[in-house]
Amino acid sequence: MSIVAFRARIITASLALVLSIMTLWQTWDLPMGTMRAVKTGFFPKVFGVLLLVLSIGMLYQLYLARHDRRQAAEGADSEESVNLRGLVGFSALFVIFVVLCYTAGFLIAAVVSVLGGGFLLGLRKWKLFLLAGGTALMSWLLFDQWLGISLPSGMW
Amino acid sequence: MEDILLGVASAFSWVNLLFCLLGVALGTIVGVLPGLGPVGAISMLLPITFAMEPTAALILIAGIYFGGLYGGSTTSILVNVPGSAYSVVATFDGYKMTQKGRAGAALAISAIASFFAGTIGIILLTFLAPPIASVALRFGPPEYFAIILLGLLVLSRLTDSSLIRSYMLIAGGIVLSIIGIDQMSGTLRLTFGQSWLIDGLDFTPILMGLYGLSEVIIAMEKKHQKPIKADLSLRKLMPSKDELKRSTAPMTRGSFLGFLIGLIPGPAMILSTYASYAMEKRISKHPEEFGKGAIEGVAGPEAANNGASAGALVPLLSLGVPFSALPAILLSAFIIQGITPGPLMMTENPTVFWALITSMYIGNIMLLILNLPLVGMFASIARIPPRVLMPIVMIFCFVGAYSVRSNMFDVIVMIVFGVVGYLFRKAKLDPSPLVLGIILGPMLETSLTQSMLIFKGDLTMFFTRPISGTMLALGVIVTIWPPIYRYVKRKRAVKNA
Repeated sequence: MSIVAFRARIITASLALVLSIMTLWQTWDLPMGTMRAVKTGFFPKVFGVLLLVLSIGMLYQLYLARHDRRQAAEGADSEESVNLRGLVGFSALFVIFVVLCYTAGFLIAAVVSVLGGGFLLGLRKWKLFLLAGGTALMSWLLFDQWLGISLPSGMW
Repeated sequence: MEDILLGVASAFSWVNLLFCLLGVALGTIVGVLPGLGPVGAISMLLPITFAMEPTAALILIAGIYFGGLYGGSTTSILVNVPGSAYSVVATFDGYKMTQKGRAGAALAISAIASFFAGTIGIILLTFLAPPIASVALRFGPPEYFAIILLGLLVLSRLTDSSLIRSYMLIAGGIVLSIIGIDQMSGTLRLTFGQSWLIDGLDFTPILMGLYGLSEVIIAMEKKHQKPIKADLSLRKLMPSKDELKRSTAPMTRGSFLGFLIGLIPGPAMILSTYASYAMEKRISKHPEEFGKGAIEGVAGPEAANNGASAGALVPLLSLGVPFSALPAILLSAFIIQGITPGPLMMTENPTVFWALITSMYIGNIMLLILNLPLVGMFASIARIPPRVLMPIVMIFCFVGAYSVRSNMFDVIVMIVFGVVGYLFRKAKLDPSPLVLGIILGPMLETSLTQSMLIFKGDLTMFFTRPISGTMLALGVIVTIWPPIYRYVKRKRAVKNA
């Protein structure tokens, strides 16, 4: 297992652990019911506990495998890396899209997103503007005008 | 009989024929793109169907389903780049044939095998789905509980070597499915006091995020990938008589093997290609040719994955239960159109059901006609650089997620699961258990609650009723057999040493 996969699995298991704790905390007061009449708290509690145990189990498995991971790291593939700048850039872009949809509407949000996305993917100059304008306009025409799906129009 | 005729007539209407053609063409185009298989194709193109009439929408989606499967192997054969996981096996001998100057023959055999297996699969589906559905009408909550539990247990065995990881993802999916208002009691669960969580999480944006948006993020890391180049002309497409003869038996075996594997929960299409390849190599008189450009190594697996795709539709159409990601996204297409697949579909929406089945036959023929002469054109789509294609995919995903409930919250859900999908890819984890946990979680809870209520808390009824008892026994075998087998094998090895 590569270092990236190892770390990604630690993050996955930790997220599952957090989810299980939140589930149990939120549903603790819900009634479990009886065997005859299973109530609303039964499923979340059973699967919350199961998720808690399994996520701890996975973290323990990863702890035991830490030595194998160190050995694998020596022969790690360059493609197994994470482009953190790009990942943060895309995450920011997604947030900007949501904010712009609420404020400026879909068309502007789509133009900005494709401009940002294309730039992060290495597209430059006039091609980028053509792609952004074309994609935003075509998707708006196709979905909003032709298919009748009312896309966000912003604050105006 | 009248319903069947009405369905057939509906499928042959000009509008539906046009949507069928559009579906197979769009599916093939998207299927050719590396990384975007039929799941990605349907999740991206699902929004197009929102405003359409149900029969036309489902015919379009079925066309995309089969088109996506056809397109997936093109880049495997031409440039050694699998379109999706089930196309990996096509690189073993298909790409070797391309290196020997037989790319056209490999592509043509791939198209013929897909047509052949697709047709056999749909014939089997036509005859198997109605009887299974009529049996399923007698299913009560215990049977549904047992079959869903068995599906999840089998899936956990097939998607990952670690049971802990698979079970964790299934449990995570079930927990996520709990969010929102409880359908049985009306109680709010896991909403954290937020009104936007009352309706729960819709699984369509989750699928779009896990499979579609994560692809956009991954593309950023491959932005320097060289465009694909290949010389394709109609003249070079035709396989020789000998190649056709050698492909016939592997195609037939692959079709039936694939269909049977398709009925099993899990990544059936991927498994079927490997199983078919292993079988062909084992029974071949020239196993040494495998991996060096054997036509049987292309024909068998290509037929198997198409057979499996038809097999996977049997549990969806007859029981209303999807057992892998692809039927799961088809289920979302059905639900969006207000149709619930399952035993009642044939009585409540017979025209839609039979029109859909008929359109699958028509779509398969259209695919063969499209694929043979136009394969060169489809291959050229793979030459579009990701930096141009992926921003368009991103906008399609945004619009798709928003369109489900005209709600920006679904876009946020999709974005979150896009990042989770990226994390899963880096962790080399299959998201299928999580997806099926989300989809099957509510069904599992409802069937358990109803079973306990009907049988007054008597747990033994799960084991005394023949169908649920058999399903649960199979579930126990699936769970305990592998460790027992490993233990016995280890003991024997120690004894022999």
